[in-house]
Amino acid sequence: MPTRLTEFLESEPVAAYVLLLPTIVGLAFFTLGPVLAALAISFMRWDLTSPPEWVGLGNYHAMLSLDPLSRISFVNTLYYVVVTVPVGIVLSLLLAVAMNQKIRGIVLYRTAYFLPVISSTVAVSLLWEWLYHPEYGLLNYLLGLFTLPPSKWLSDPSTAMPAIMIVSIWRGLGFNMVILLAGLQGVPQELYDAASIDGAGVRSRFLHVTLPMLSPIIFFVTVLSVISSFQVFDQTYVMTKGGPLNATTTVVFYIFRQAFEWFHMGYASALSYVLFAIILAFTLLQFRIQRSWVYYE
Amino acid sequence: MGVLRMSSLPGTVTTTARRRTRHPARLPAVGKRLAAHLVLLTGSITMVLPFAWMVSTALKGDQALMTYPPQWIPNPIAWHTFIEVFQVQPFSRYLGNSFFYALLATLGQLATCSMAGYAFARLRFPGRGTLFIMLLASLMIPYQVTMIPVFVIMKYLGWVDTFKPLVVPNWVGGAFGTFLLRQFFLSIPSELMDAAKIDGSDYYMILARIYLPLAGPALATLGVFTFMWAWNDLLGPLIYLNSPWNYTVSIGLAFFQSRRYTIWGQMMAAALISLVPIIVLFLLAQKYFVQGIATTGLRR
Amino acid sequence: MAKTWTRRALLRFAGVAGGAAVLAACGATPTPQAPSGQTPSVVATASPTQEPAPASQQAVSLTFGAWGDNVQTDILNSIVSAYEASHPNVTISKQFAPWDGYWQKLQAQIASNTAPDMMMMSVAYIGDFVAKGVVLNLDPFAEAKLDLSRYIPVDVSTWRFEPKAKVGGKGSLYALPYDASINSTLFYNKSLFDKAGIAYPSDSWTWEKDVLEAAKALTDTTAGQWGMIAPYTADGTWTSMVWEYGGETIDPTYSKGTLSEPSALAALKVVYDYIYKHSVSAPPNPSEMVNPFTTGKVAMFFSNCDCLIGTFKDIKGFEWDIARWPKGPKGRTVELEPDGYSLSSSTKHPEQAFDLLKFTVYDDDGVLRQSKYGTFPARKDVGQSEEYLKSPGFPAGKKLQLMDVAEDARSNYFGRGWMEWVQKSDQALQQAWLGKKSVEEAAKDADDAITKVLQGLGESLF
Repeated sequence: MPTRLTEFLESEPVAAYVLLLPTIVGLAFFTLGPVLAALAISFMRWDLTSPPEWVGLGNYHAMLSLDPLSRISFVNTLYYVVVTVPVGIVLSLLLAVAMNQKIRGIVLYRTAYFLPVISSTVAVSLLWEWLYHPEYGLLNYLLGLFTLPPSKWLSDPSTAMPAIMIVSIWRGLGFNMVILLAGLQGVPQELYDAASIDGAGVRSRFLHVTLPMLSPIIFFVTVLSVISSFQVFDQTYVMTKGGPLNATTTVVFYIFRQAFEWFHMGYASALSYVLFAIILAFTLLQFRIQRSWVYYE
Repeated sequence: MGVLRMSSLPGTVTTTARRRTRHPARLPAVGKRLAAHLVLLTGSITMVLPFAWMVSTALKGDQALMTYPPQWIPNPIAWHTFIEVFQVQPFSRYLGNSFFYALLATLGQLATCSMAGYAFARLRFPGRGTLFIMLLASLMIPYQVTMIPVFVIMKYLGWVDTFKPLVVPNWVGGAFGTFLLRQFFLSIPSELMDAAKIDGSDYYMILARIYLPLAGPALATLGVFTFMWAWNDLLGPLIYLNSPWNYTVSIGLAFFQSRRYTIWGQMMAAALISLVPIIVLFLLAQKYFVQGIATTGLRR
Repeated sequence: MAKTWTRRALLRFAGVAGGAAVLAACGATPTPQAPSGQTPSVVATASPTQEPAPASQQAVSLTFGAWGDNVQTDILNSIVSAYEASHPNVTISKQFAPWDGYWQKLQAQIASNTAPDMMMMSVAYIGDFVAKGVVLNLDPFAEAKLDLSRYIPVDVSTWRFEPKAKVGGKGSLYALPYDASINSTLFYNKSLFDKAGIAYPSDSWTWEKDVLEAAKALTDTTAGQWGMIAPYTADGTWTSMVWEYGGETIDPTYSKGTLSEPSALAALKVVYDYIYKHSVSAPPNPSEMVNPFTTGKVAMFFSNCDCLIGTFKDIKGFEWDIARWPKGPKGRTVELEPDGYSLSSSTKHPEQAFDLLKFTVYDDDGVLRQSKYGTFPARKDVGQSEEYLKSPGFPAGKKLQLMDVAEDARSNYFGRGWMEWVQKSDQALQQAWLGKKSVEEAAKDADDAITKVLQGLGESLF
């Protein structure tokens, strides 16, 4: 017999909030507080122990007009995002479709592509340092076989960032592949069958069945890739330490350096808020245009 | 070529096709397949390279110096390196701790993110858009700036040197998991929900009996990723755990590096050992990567 | 419809599951298996060299933070056990972390006022920590109880700071050293020298004559063999070269960079010429995770002596040795960098913490245990002792280090903002090493960067 309480709890908005209760608690305690604290710190000069000093918009002003390195770091990061996100998503989409076949041994293939995602960053970095070595590396050796000139890869400011991008794309393939593969399981086989009956070839099936049905997950992968590639850090820290000549200094690398090595926590917080604003803008934009290409049931 | 038009009822597709295409010639098709396989195979070889490197380095033991050009086959093969890992550190204890922490974290994410993802996907309530953006916003601030304020909170809660700072945040939602499950649930036809409501189910039951069973692949994905992140997390355990008997595998791995050099053989052996649970989990999760039966509910 | 899952049940399940998990997390902190020596009831058997336990016998609990690898933490564990055995009223909680992440951990602890009572300290950060008042002034204890002449002088003076000083060197003491790491060591590939028939480096070698000649003879680009890796690395190997040419990186008032001055510039030019004029050095590869000397294709390598105990000790493909640092026109000056321990300024038990500090780095027992790691001890007499020289390691290396520290050794202007000006000046000089700018221009950029940091200390926003 439904009581007033159960009726209340089963109403749509209340049910939503009940289900969202843990999330709201988490947001309030572990996200909102620290995020607001970081915002407050961005208006101060603080070195961890001395009492913080209010400087208003001083940090933001310094970032925009006094510190050339901050501009460099934003440009480097934008360069990185604009290249790695589209290339990575297209490649992992093709990969996921390929991995969706029901052939024997496909699980082995999938595991192989997933391995770089779980391998230690150190192992991955060592491997690529060898591949990229100007004198003894495999890549320059292969270039030589095709009579192409060798590249300085990580040693030269103009090639270092592209080299890092290649490593990131290579490593991220398995990650996005797994997510897209999960999404592919939700595409009903009946649609493919009907399309085949219609005479649709592989490409047409891909464009007219797979892509639309998968678009919610592709959207997810795109939004998340943008958010995470704006915050690239590990690769640049382990492989090149932001060099050579700041070519691979990304915003988060610069934030890390400012906060933990140079003790300018206020400035680091200001940098992270500008980054946050940029990421938020990109994300909101993506949500705005999703109506035109994402197909929800 | 036929044109497919999606009708509002999934599972039934109307077409306006009139013509059939000829079957393309056999030979080019086989050629294309072979080329595709070759590309995939080459790709997977490069993917396995770091893994092979780790094995080779681990088996070199003491001789594990990085030389250029690198020597792939160790001589002699030092199997005992894997044993040494357990002798120089309480590594099995670390494995147990990591497993405990990662398992709890994973269960927490699976539970709370499916609840939240469903709410965002299928329920209407005031503040839905704002709350969702706030959730996503939590992904947009680099951890370097929130690390210390969060640490101060944990210190005041008295949770330092326990597992709570590592596990509890995984039981209070997560942006990645919620967003993933939201997208996944959005691609399950809403008619299923309408039908169930007509049948008298409430929103909780719809989640439990309809949406969750269909979310196998997404839950498996979230489970693998959460476990992996918790397992590989170094900074979290490092700043919150003080007592050595609480340490995790990630800390244990970092102990093979001193300030100026690294003990490569043992470190790679330890890293390989620590990879095993994740690979096993990944293989187990593959069972759930099967086509959902989203449409069967509507077969009348 | 039969409801096996009632709505109440589902709600209850969700709630219970959540609560249970939180409880499980709370209650399931693994039961501590206290390592031996942790229980305060162990009866003390004081060894003859042990100082008597402090008068107050009330229970004291100390926290001890340090970084290290497995070998170092084993040594520290043994020191802690030995101390607890002889001081039954003291319990020590160990917080040993790996080097990767230690500083973030420490900074989080400092910011939340939970810094360990005794913490391992690096000269890279000591200046900033002193300025922030994070570390305890050790003068009251040191003057009463310690004979600081036991230590290598530079190892102690580096930790001294006057109030408001930018750089250390004199004033109150804020840490005690436990090792003396020498940044200026010449490693050479004996096999390559033998093959070319060249005499090994000797004590009298100079940069512009002997080193250059040997490097030229040992460079064979067709075979991919290089005479050296020029001392351009961030370890500041060129720092001591600058001293050997009579120059300085920073002026005596520590307010501006002086790398553009003729004498300093001359030293930098020598390095530049190795790479671009004489082509005897492999091109700089800033992303070296792997030491190029181990490939066997580099005849001379300039780096920190700790390579001895780690990276190089397993080299099997060729013979190698170390030699004295080459001289410049003004003689030989070697760069020294100690590591040490500080006490937290907010410790509740300064006396007891100092006692632990003394046990770890001043008393024979602690110092000898630490020296087993292989780094050169900070105490002169231990470094000269038979026990140290005969212990496993690299005897020739140890003797050389002995000579190095006995002669002129200096430290690299450790003080406030050290990480910042070193990293910025390094990046500026990299422009020269990578061939993008001339040495003069790069040195000017480096000076500008150093000046800006030193003059903005505590005032600058970024």
